[in-house]
Amino acid sequence: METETEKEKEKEKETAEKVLFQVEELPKTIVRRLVKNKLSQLSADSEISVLRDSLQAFSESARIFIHYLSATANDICKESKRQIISAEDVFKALEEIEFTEFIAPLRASLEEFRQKNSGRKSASSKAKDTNKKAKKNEQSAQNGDGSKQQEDHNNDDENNSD
Amino acid sequence: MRQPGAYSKLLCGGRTGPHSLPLARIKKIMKKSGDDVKMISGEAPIVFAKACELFIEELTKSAWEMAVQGKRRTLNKEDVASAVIHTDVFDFLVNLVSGSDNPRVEEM
Repeated sequence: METETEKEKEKEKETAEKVLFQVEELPKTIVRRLVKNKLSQLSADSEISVLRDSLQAFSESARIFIHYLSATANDICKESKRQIISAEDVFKALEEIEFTEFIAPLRASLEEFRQKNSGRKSASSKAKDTNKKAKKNEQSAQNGDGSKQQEDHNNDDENNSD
Repeated sequence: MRQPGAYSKLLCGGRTGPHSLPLARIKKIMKKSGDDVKMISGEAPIVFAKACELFIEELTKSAWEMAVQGKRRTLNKEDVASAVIHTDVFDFLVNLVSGSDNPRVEEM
């Protein structure tokens, strides 16, 4: 009887771990694709095969990398007394954990994404966005001179007093 | 052949977009990295996704070098472990490769 309970417990533990891992792991297909693509780059003439165990190791490593990078970015964010982890925090974190060579390509990638995103937004709500953009441009143009911003504040005050 | 399905956008864009790894899952992992990680900007997971890709590529390259040194054409777990041990920037992974039974072994 004891062996049965033991077996049951083990099974439960396994399922629990599996569930945890399913939630926390990165998709195997993507990890596999990344590894295989890189390998075909590195060894164009001969095909390198990858054992399943090692794919698991890649996946785990990537997960821990995210943990480590987030914890570092979180610390940086807290130091500047902000609540939200921004992309800049992540870049500083990369410097701190000595992955500086990643920063340039990541910035480029982020810019690409930002541009794509702003393209999508303007397609759905054109008028609203052109107004916002115009305001932004004005503000950034008068960045050194904060008078425009003060004007806006004054307007708000007037509204509130009414 | 299997249909691309959920990851179809990866395949139709030629070069994958900056967020090919699922952002929701990355956010989950980020939130588990610390109790006080509450708010993450919309852009952070995207940078993470790409950083993860680059990281996996770096690790693959180092592991491949280990396999080449051993004159093998198959990457195994030991290659990944050797890559971690021999590369300074992968120090944070040392605990992972030394054995999952002792996740907090402190080396003096």
